[in-house]
This record gives sequence, structure tokens and C-alpha cells, in this order.
Amino acid sequence: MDSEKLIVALLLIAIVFSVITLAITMTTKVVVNPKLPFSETTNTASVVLDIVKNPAKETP
Amino acid sequence: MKSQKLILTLSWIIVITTLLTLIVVFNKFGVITGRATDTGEANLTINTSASISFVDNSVNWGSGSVDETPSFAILDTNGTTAAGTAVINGSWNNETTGLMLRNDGNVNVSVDLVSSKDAAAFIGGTNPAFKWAISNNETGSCAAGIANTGYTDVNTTAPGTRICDDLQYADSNDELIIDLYVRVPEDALGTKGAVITATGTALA
Repeated sequence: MDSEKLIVALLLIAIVFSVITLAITMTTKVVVNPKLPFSETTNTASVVLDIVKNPAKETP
Repeated sequence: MKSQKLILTLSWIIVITTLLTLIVVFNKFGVITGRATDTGEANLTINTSASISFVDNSVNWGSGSVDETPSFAILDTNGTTAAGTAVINGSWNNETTGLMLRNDGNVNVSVDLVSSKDAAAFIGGTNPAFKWAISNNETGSCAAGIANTGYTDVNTTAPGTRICDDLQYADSNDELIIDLYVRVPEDALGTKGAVITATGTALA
């Protein structure tokens, strides 16, 4: 095979490889998962007491 | 002929480069050729869920009064006062356990604590006090940044005080205790109530 034919053959091979690569990248789905949303939670508790007057303190 | 050799060399380089690109793409996207295979995929998503709750969500000292002397009473859920009781100089119920906060989600969280009222608004009278102290109920529950481990005045300014940077979610170590300390002066009267809100924020 003379060098001109070899060059043509090599370029054809390169074109085929490029087309295959392009086809793969175009048809493959790349899914990027979004970052999970900011997550926050709250809960409450109560503190209670009743204050009454001490009768002993009312004594003058 | 010299330029022909150059073109031939470049052609080889192009072929090798495109072949390498193809191999990289095959590897990256998992495309395998040369054998007959079929694959199935099982997908599931585990969402993180930030959730905290007060397992013990109430401290209720009931009704009581300040003793004749001195001029104030102390109510302390820690129960480690000098007199060995949770109530000193008063007739309220002994509350010997503070609030218990648990991380019942599946992600570690930071925790902020805020009170609806400060001492003056909650108790009133002359020189009242309303404080909290944070501790682990289980060893290592708060893996980092536990704060206010000694009695500290409650915070009423949102978002509150960051009491723990990293509250764990594993069942064996996911609980905090919030002890409460109240100083009741003799000139305070009436039914008193405050709400404490804990906010957990999921850590990345």
C-alpha cells in the first residue's frame, strides 16, 4: 500500500472513531442530582409555674 | 516526499488520539462492547430528614409560694443545689428532670435554642432569674460545640443560642438535656409560662 492510500485509510479510521465517540456522548444521559434542599426542623417545650402569696408574709 | 511523511505521521497521531478518546468515553459511560451482556438497574433514593423533638417537653412546677424567709426561692431542675433538692425556699413541686431534646431524624443537626420570655417577662418582680444549662443525656450526643454547659440567662433573640454544633442522630447518642433554673422573688405573683423553641438544621 502506498503512503497516499495509507493516509486516506487512517483518516477514515479517525473519522469513524470520532463519529462513534460523538454518538456515545450525544446519546448518554448525564443526570446531575440537585443538592438536597436546606432542611430545618423546630419543636417547642413549655415551662410553667404558678406563684401564690405566702400568707405568712402578709403578717405585718 | 518529505511533506507526505509529515502528513502520514500526523494521520497516525490523529488515529491514536481519537482511539484514546473513544476508550475514555467507553470507560466513562460504562459502554462495554465485545461481549453480549445485559444489565438492569435498581435505583433508590434515601432522603435525609432533619427532625428534632422534645421527648420531655414540659417543666411544670405547679403552684407554690416563696417561704417566709428569705425573699426569694430557687427552682432548679438539675437538683444539685446545696440543699439537694430542686426547690429551695419555696413550696413548688420538685422537678428533677429538665427538658429532653432528641434528634430523631437521620442526619446530624446543629441546634439553636430560644425562649419566648426572659426572666423579667416570665417571672417578674425584683431581681428574677431564668437560665438554662445544656448537657449530653447520652455520651457524645453533641459531637461538637456544646455551649451553655453552665447556667446561662436564656436568649430571647431569634434565632437564639447555638447550643450544639453537631447533634448526632444514632439512637445510642442523640439526646440533650436542657436544665432550667428560676429565681422567684417574693414580690412576683400569678400564673407564669414560657415557651422554649429548639431549631435543628441539617448538616451537609
